Amino acid sequence: MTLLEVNDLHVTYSGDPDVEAVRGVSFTLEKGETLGIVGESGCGKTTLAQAIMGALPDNGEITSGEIIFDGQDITHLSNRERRKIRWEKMSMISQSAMNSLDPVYRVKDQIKEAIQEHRDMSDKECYERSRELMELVGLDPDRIEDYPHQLSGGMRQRVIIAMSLALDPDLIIADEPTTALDVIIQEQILYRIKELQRELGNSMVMVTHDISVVAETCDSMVVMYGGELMESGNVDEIFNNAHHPYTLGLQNAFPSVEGEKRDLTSIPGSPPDLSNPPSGCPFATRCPFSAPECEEPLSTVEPVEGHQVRCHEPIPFEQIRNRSGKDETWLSQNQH
Amino acid sequence: MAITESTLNWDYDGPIIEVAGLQKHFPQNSGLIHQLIGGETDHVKAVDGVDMAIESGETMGLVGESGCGKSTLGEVLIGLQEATGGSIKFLGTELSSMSDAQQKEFRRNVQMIFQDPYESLNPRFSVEQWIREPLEVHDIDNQDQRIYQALERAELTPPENYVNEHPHELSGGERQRVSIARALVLEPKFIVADEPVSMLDVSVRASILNLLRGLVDDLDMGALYISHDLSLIRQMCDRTSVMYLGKVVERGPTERLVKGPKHPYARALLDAVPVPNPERTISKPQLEGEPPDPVDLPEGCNFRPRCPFAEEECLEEPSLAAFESPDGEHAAACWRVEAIHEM
Repeated sequence: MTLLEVNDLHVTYSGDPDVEAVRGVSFTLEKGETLGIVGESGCGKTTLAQAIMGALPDNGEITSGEIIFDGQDITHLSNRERRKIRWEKMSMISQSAMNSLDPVYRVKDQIKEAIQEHRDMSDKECYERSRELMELVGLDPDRIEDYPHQLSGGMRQRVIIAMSLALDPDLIIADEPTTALDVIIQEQILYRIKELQRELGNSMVMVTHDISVVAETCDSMVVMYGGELMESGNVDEIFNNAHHPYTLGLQNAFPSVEGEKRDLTSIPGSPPDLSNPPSGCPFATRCPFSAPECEEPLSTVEPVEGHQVRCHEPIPFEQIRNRSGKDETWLSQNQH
Repeated sequence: MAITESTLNWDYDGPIIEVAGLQKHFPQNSGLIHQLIGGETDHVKAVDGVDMAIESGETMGLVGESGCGKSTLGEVLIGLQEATGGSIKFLGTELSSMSDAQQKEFRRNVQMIFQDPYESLNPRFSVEQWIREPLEVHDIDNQDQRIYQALERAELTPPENYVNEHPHELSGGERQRVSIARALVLEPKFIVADEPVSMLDVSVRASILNLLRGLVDDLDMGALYISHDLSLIRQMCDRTSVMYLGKVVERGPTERLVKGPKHPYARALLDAVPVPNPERTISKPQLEGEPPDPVDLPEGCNFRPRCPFAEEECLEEPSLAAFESPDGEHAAACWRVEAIHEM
C-alpha cells in the first residue's frame, strides 16, 4: 500500500533572483519501506525532504505538483493543519539536529515537550515514555537526566531519533542522519534505525549523499541532479542495471572496501545555476556523452517496470555503462 | 657562542619522519582549588606510546574512530602540538634538540591539509594572498613564480584565473585545492592530511585523492593520511596504522589489512564501512558504545572492555610484537589473532 506519493513537485525559493530548487520530481513510497534520495549538495534533496515535511524555509514555496500522504493531499495545508501531522504522523531527523537540542534543558524535558505538544499525557507518563524511548535507541535510560553537552555527538543524534519516534509516526524523514559521525557510530545508528523500522513498521525517506548507505538501508531510490529526478527504481535494479550517466558517475566515484581495488572516477564541473535553469537535461554540461539533443526537455523512459530514467540516450546505454567506469571518459569532458 | 648547525641532514637515507614511544598527555582537573587541596592531576592520554616511521614517497594511513587520538598524533608530528614524551626525528635529527635554524627549516618542510576547506581559508584573503602568506613568514624569494607553480601543481589552471578569487567564489573542491597549493608552496617533505575529502562532494573526492597521491609520488614527500573510513584509506595509502585510545593496535600494507584485518578493532572498523552493494544489508555492529575517555585506561589491552574475544591473557598489555606476519610487514597488538582466526 502506498503511504506517500509525490507528483511532479516544484519548489521555488523567492529571492533575487528566484531559485527553483525542485523541478518536477515524482515518486511513491510503500508502507514499511525505505526510499533513498541521493545526489550531491545543491541537487535539491534536502528541499524535497523539507517540502514533504512542511518545513520549508519562509521563502520556499511549493509552486506546483502535489504531495499525497496516507490518502490525503497535504500539499497546501495551513501551518496549523501541518502541525497536527508533524511529529504525530511524520517526523524528521535532520543533519544538524544533534546541535539543535536546547543546551539549557535536560534531555527528559525536551522529549516531554515534544510529546505534550501533541498528546494529553501526564508528566509521569512522559517520563516513563522518555526512558522507554532512550532504551529503544540504545541509550542508558538514566541519561535523560543529562544536559545535551554531557552527551557525545552520537548520543545526541540518538536522542533526536528517540524524539522523532516519540509519537510513533508512520513516516520518518532522515536527512543525512549520520553524516557528521564516524563509521562505527554511523553503523550503530543506521542499524538501530533499521531494527526499529522492522519492529514498528514505519516507512522512511533517507536523504544522503552516500550511495553505500542507500545500498545497505533502502528498498528503492531516487537519484537527483539539478533539482530533477535523473533515475529511480528498486535499489537492486539501480545498482545492477543503472542507465543514467550521472548514476553511473556516482557509483564509479565511490570507494569500497569490498572486492578488488579499482581507480575511482570523478565528475568534473559544477551543478547548474538553478536561478537560470537549463531547458534540457541539467546534467548535460558535465556529461561526457552529451549531444545536441540533450538541450531538449527530458522525457522518462522505463527500461524495466518501475525503473525510470530521464536521459536522451545520446549513445546506447550499454556503451554509456561500459565507458563510464574509466576516468579518461570523465576527464575528456573537462577539455571542451 | 657555539656554532649551531644551520641545516638538516638532507643526505639522510632513513625515514623522513620517525617517532618512538611518542606521548601526548593533556592534564585534567588542574584547576587552582584542585591543586591547593593537593589533588592528583589526571591525564588524558591522547597519544600513548606510538612508534611509526614514514619514508619519502610513502603515504601512511591512520584510521580510528572519533577520539582515538589520530588528529592529535598528526598535529604532534608536524610540531603544531608539543609531545609530552618520546622522540620525533625528522631526517634523523631529534626535534627537541634542533637549533633555532633547524627548527625553522623543519617547520618549512612539514605542512598540514585540514578537513574543512570552508573554515580553513581566510575569507578576506584572495587566493594569491593566502598562498603568499607562508612565503612571507619564511622570507622566501621568487614568490610570484612559486605561487603560480603551486596553483598549477594543485591543478588550478590557468593560475591567473584563480589568483584574485576569494574563498566564497570557489567551489568546495577548488577550496581544498587552494589549501593544497598553500601547503605545497613551501615544497615540504612531509604532509599530514586530516580527513581532506570528508566535507567534499562525492564527485570531486576522487580527483582530490588522485591529486594528493600524484603529488606524494612526484615530489617524493612522505604523507600521513588521517581518516575514520577505510574505503578512503584504501584508495590513498601504501601502509596503514590502526589507532585505538592513543595506541597503534595494527599496522600493515593497506591492501593486506583491508583483505585480512588481524586486530578485533580493525575488523570492527572495516565491518562498519558501508559498501555500495545492495546484496549486503546493514548487519549487527561488532562494537557497542563508544570508546571510554582515555583517562582511566583499563589494565592490559585497552580494547579489552569492548572486545568480544577478550580472555584472561588480555590482562597483560600486548605490543605490536604480539602478532607478526612471517615477513614482518603486518603486525597487531593482540594476543588472540590466531585463536580468533580459527573461530
